[in-house]
Amino acid sequence: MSSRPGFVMEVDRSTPPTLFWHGEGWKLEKLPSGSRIIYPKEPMEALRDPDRAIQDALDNPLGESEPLDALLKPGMKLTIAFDDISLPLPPMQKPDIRQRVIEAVLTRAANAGVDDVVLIAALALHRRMTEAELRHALGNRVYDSFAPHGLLKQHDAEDPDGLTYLGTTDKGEEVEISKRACESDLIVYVNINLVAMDGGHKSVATGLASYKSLRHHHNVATMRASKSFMDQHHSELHSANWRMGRYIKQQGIKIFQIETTLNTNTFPSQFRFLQKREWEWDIRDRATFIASSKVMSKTPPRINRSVFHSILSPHAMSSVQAGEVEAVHERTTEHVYAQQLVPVSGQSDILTLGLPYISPYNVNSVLNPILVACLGLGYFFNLYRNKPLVRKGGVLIMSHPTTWEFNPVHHPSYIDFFDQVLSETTDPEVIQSKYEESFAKDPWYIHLYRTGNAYHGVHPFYMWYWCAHALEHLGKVIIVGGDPKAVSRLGFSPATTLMDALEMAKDVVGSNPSLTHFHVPPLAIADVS
Amino acid sequence: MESASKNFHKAVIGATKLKLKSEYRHAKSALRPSFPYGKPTLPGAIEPEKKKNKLGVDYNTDWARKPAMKFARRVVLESLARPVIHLIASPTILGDEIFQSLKGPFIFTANHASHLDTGLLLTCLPENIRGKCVAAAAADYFFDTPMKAFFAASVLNAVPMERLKVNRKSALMAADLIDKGWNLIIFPEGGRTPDGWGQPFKGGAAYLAIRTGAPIIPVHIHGTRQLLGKGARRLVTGTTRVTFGKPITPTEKDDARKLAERVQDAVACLADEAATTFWEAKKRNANKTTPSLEGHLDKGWRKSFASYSLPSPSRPSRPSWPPK
Repeated sequence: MSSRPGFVMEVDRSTPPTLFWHGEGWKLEKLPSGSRIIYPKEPMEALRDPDRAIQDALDNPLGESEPLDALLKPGMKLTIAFDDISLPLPPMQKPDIRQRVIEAVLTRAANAGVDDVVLIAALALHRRMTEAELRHALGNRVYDSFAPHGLLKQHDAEDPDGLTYLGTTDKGEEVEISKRACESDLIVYVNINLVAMDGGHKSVATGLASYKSLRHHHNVATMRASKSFMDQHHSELHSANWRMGRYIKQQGIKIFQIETTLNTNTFPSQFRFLQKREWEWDIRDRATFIASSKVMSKTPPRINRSVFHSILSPHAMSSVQAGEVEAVHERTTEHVYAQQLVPVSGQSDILTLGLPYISPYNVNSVLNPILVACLGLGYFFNLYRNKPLVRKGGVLIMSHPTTWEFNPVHHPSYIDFFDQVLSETTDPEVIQSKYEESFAKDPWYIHLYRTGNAYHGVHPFYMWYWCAHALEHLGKVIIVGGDPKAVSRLGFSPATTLMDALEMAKDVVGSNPSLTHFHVPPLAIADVS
Repeated sequence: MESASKNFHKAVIGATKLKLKSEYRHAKSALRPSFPYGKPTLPGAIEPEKKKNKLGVDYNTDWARKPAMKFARRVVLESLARPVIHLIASPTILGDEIFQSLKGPFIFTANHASHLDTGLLLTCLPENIRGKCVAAAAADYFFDTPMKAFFAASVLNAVPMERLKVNRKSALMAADLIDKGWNLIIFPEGGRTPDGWGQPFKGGAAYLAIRTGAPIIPVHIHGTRQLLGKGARRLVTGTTRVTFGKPITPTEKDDARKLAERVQDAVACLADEAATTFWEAKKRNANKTTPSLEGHLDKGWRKSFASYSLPSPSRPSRPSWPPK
């Protein structure tokens, strides 16, 4: 059965209240008549036999690439790199796609007599994954075969002995990536494409790169010139990665890219109402909503958080393709667009968003205020093609508790960034020029990144740069239900209720504003005409 | 000018209707508990989803075969339906001794002249068989409204059968029931006779027999058209005759069309037996001169008129059938 497409609905008096995510919870909000709500497309049909599809993809590569079997030779050095904990969201139910693909690749490598195989989690500047997270992503069979022998590595962007400087692109961007990857006869990259931004040359050029290399595209100018990240051809972030990727290829480094896409079946059946349209909620959906809302209002946030982070998504593989990086990514993007694009006519004065409990950088952790800003302004605001959902000078209203809370193990530099940097300025350019280097080169943060489970010292800066395009575009940002002190520190305006926020927005956009609510997640990309 | 005025009126009426509809929805929603405690209201921009058609061939009759319903039906059948039908139709039963040596499930295929046929056939079957019978009933006739569907399923233990087009679903459902040990009563003509003569047998019963391996029992029912024929407004009492033939077991070589022809011949032979004697019918059958169920006259009133010359079961001594 085909899934129903996403669509834009105009709110009238008989429209039931609309679901807004609110961190580790949700609420129903009545939107003014005449507002628009963008509903995502329903999950597409999954591949019936994903394992067979993987084998087919390995045998029939796209672009100028031989089948995987022809690339595997006895005595060769093989590196299998894979996406880290930031994908997919929420983490998927077992078996994880990475496990399926890597087991298929390893089986072929074993048949071909390849002995020198190393697996690398492509972390870039993300935190190291725990053993449990690695076991979940790769399966026990793969983990137990490689980890005890030190052959399951996590990319270290600060290891002076583990990086190779390859040179610069024609735009002067320095390219420095994992030494093991450079020395390998073949890199097999195993990717999960949750949104159109993932994959392509970004996999190796970002995932296996050093800070020296990453700073060339993770900066304010690049982010502001990316409109948007979901549209590769209008994203400077992608252009930089493509230049680097092509440069890596020119150096003779061979990459066999395997990309997979997921459908948007995001929440398990217990929470199925989260991906249903409100007027289609049956008695079970309403009962679940009421019961869960009541329980969550009584239990401590810590417990709610652990419950939410235990949710495993029933995402299913909707496509898999392998071969040459660019040819593969082109096909992958088509699949992502087929699932997520929703045509929307015109921009509006106000955009409303309900922010959930999870972003790529707080799996099993806290969505601290900086990540709240990044999720709303960096990611959800950028879920568009052509032009943003909200007009230039418009208002973004987000719903999230935005508590002044950080995970000191995962986000140590975030705490200092929030205390020391944002208290001085929220201007991304000033922050970049004045503070970035001191955080990036701080030996304590580097130590925690390399040996613990901490994000790199510079990571909160990058989160703020993700917001740069939205901050430049918007006239005002309001957070509903957030901690006023934390919201003010971000430079945003706190509001108690949505109605208050709408009144505040009128000061910026006039007394009769148009309003669009983006009903995500499950994810969608607004194709704004 | 006049047409412009008419169009204007139409537009005004249309707009008023829409407005009233919206007001009605709004007023209705104001009276019930608000969402999420109550049902959500439907946004004006959303077309109400058409309810899935649960009638016709999609009607689910599983509930009618639950133990409680089986028991209730048995009580009604034995204590009410059987005495009443026997009082009205006074059936003479021939050939039912075959059931002493056979084990089901069976597919009963009979000619069809009246709504009484199913009840009559059911009540003429041995007790152990009639308690485990389902009747194939026209999906477009018996299952087109909830009331009729409920009656057909509960009282007759009927299952919907598509007769207007080929439908795999109804055939699979019937096959599944036979596989589970249920006997099936089916009228292969696909409907009651309009003129007293038979109609060509369709292949559904034969297909089910081939698919399930269940033997077909040809049955001839005589006399029910006079009691409650097609189009009759009044039920009258009279006498009927129900004749069971020898079982026809499908072979590997059979196809549905040929088997349906064999079954039709067997029922025609039973019809001949009802009009004459067993021996005469058998001789004619051996000589392949058994009169066709469908008659040999032209269409129209002459065919209908001739059917009334069939002997009444109460007067078997008048062998004026088949027409000479």
